[in-house]
Amino acid sequence: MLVVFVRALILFLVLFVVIRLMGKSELSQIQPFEFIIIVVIADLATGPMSDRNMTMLHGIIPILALLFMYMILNFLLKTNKKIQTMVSGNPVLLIANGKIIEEEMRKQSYVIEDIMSQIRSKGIFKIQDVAYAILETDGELSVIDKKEITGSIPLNVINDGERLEGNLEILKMTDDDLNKILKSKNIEEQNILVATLDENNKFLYQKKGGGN
Amino acid sequence: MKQIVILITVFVIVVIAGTWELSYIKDSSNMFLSDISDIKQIIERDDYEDAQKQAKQLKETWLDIRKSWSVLMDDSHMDNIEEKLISFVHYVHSEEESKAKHSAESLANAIKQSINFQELKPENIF
Repeated sequence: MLVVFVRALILFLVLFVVIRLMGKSELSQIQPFEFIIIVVIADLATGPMSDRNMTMLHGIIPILALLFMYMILNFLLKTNKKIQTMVSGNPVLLIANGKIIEEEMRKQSYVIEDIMSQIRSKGIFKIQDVAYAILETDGELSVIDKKEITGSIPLNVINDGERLEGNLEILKMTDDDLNKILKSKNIEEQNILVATLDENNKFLYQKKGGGN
Repeated sequence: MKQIVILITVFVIVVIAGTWELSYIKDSSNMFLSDISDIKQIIERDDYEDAQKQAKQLKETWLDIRKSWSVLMDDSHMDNIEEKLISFVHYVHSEEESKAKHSAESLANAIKQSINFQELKPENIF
């Protein structure tokens, strides 16, 4: 009994340190692949916690290996847009101007009731009252009430020098439209830290290194 | 404050229960080991009639111990002890001295190993 108790305490401490090193403070912030890693880590910890025939190191070493892989993947996600898109996907527009975009809803394996429950949790009870609902990469549905919108909604079109094709599609704009805007502002895409654009072509940006 | 009291209480209960569990297993196994040693001495005296009677008694004692150990110990350890006990009793009944003494040794070792497995030692933890 005492051995099992001490093993459980040690594994708890290992899990605590690993989760802290993963740097996630809220479960709602996690990406699907992070959720899988957390579930696998938890499963690896329960083996040596309850099974005395398993050495503790056989539980701890795979946990540390997963943490190592997670840190490498996280680094790649932060530095490479293509990997980020491949692993986390892009935000998806599910509702625009009070209408569900059916094709996207089915692609995301959503049903009407999923959308309804999420918009109700934001205090909106009719789809017609939703200006936009965007399914974020962490699974959270960002809902914008029509009442809150005075003009059109701005979306990020460039993040850290990388073009966000998905948001351009939402704004019903093409690459050429953005190229024209960039040319008129006389700025290179790769020099932009963040740029937003709305349906009225209002383009706001911040240069890398702090300039506007 | 209430949480600290609960935490300390749970910790104390676990430590006391764990210590009691270990001492109970050690006491009952020492009794069992001493019975095995007695039977070995009886075999050395060539008194197989008495040895067989004691071996039968040993089997019954084991069945009692098993009932309480099953809550505290892994089944595989008890199965291992039981397997060795059956062969020991068999050799006592067939009056094969060397085999009986050898199986008594291996039975005693299996019991000691099982007790060792329960102790709070770094090699058991890691």
